[in-house]
Amino acid sequence: MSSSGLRSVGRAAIVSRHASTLKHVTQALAVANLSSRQAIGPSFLPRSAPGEFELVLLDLDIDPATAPTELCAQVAAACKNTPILVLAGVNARHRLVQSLAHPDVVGCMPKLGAWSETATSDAKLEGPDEQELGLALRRRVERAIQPSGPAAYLLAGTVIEERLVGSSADKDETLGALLADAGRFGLGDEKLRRLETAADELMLNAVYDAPRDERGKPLHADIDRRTPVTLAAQAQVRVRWGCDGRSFVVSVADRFGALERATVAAHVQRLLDARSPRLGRAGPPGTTAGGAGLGSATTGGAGLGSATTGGAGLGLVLTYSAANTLALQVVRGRFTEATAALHVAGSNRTAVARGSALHIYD
Amino acid sequence: MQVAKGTRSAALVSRHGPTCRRVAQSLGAAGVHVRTSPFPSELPVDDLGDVVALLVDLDVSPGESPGLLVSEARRGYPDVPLMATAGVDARARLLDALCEGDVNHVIPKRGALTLPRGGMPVLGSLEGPDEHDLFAAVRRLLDGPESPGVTPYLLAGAPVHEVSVRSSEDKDRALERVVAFGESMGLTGEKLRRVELAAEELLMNALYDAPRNADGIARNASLDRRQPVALGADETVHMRYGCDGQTLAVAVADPFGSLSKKAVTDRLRKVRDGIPKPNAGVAGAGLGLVMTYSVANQLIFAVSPGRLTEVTAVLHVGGSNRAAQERGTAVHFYVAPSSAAGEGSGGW
Repeated sequence: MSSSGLRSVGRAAIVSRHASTLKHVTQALAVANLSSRQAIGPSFLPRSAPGEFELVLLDLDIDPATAPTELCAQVAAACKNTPILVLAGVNARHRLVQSLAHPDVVGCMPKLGAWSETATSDAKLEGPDEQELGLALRRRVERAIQPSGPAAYLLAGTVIEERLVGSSADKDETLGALLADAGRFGLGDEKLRRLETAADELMLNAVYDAPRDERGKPLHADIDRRTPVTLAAQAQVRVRWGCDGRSFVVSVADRFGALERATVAAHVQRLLDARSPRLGRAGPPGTTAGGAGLGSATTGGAGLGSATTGGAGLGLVLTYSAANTLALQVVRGRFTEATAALHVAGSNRTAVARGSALHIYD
Repeated sequence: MQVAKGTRSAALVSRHGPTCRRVAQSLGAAGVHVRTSPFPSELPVDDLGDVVALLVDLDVSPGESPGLLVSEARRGYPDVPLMATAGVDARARLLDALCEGDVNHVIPKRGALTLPRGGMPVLGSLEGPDEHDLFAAVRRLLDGPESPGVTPYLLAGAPVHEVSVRSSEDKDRALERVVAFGESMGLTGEKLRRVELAAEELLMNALYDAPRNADGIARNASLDRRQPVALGADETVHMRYGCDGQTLAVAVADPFGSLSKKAVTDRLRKVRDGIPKPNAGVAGAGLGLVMTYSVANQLIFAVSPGRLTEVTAVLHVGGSNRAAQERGTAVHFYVAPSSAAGEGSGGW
């Protein structure tokens, strides 16, 4: 009898005392071949050297009254220089985004059923999506040095479309091809709009924000997004997408690898601003509260204010809000790949209610 | 609307919005254009291009026998792989369609098994068929009945483990390995029992029911299942299993290719007609298949007669066990074209 082994490739620490979360996390850890060490609070974590744990999974619901950054700091004190992936069910949107202010946080994921405004500590919460968390952990353990593309988020055998974008005109053409592809699947208007927002903003970022000169200075970041640009041959952007009926996934890779974790965190934290398009009550001009008014972002940027003049990072915020998962893979100086996965099965409302996870692999 | 020549397409009979949307999405993602008609009699017959599947929603007429509905839809598409989905009285009607028609694929709608038996659905409570199930089924139709193992049912890149089995002792060790794998995934109680039962029955089938002698006669089928058996060097059975966090799949492939659809449906009728009590160790009752059907969310048979049988059980292990069981069981049957009429009784 021959077999392949089941040896763990590393260990992760889990800080949680929510039974359902622990179950879901255990399943996800096994997908990444990680063994686990559970603690019911940060003070119960063993003092560990950097690298002893691949990461710490911190359930913010262990103490909904304590600031997320404070909980992260307690974890960081026990597990120095160890990446932290935060989970939350209670007041999930705000607390997950708040946690990004801590420098060790490399990802945040809502628990299932937690994204609605009304979630409280009394709500019956499930754990995080096991498949999504398993994939996130697998990517962290595998540490790919090439852009991974959308395949890992889709059933094996899913056809992946690919385009190279060398100019803003190519960007428009590619967006058209992607939307035509999605249109064939009979996606509803709301789903198409989320998809359009995510794909357009990722490509705008790769064409305008990412390119650097030899000294590392941004080339097009200050240019109005309506001004056409052409990229050098070696700076072409690789766009890939696919759909397996349940998820539509688009990946956009530039060849600069300039994105910083701190930049991402700072931009996403704009969602805490009362004027943000998703979390706040009042959206910016041209948008409507609740995240529905994203259409203007893809029609020339009207209503997005500074988004049209580049560098504002609103594209990232809009993409994070539109996607169910936003994964950013950075190999410094070589490439940045942003992957947005959107749940397209069932109703758009159900998909939006699944919330948005963010993962940074750098 | 006419479909461009060369375009792969499928015909769907349904007037249930969520079903139409899910089918269009899943098949569209597989590169297949879907034409929908509300009644079997209104299906277009000559402008669909390269038709890869005909899918009939049995809920278009819940009072009518599945066989009749299917044969009416079938008229214009005599050679196209036939799929059926249902929400109303789903388990019984889908098994009827599978057992009595030439339907090779049956997929319950999401939410169907929470309805009272024979009850009409409350509009809005029923979703369409599972999109991953449909997508994987159509991809396999396009790719042919090979032996892909568990890969098509898991997210790309999910680790897959493989075990070779040639004897009863190997089978026990392989089973221990699968159970250990399930435990490492944090599965306990009913979920773990479902995995163990499915894996064991697939292996038992491959060791006892599938093997044939040179004359094509079953070698071990009449043996007590507690009696050890060994296979020849060129008769190795391969078990593959993996999990992507939400879906756990186990596939067992034997080199005999002795399983027929008739043998499967004869056993599945027991689900409909009531399961007789098993006698421990007695062979040939076919109860293994019935039990596997009752614990799996998908059961896939791929047969190349005389060459290969691969049976795959797909189990949803995300969320609660109850939610997983309520998803019901889809059955898919892929037979190599040259042998579609094969009536071998081997295996299940």
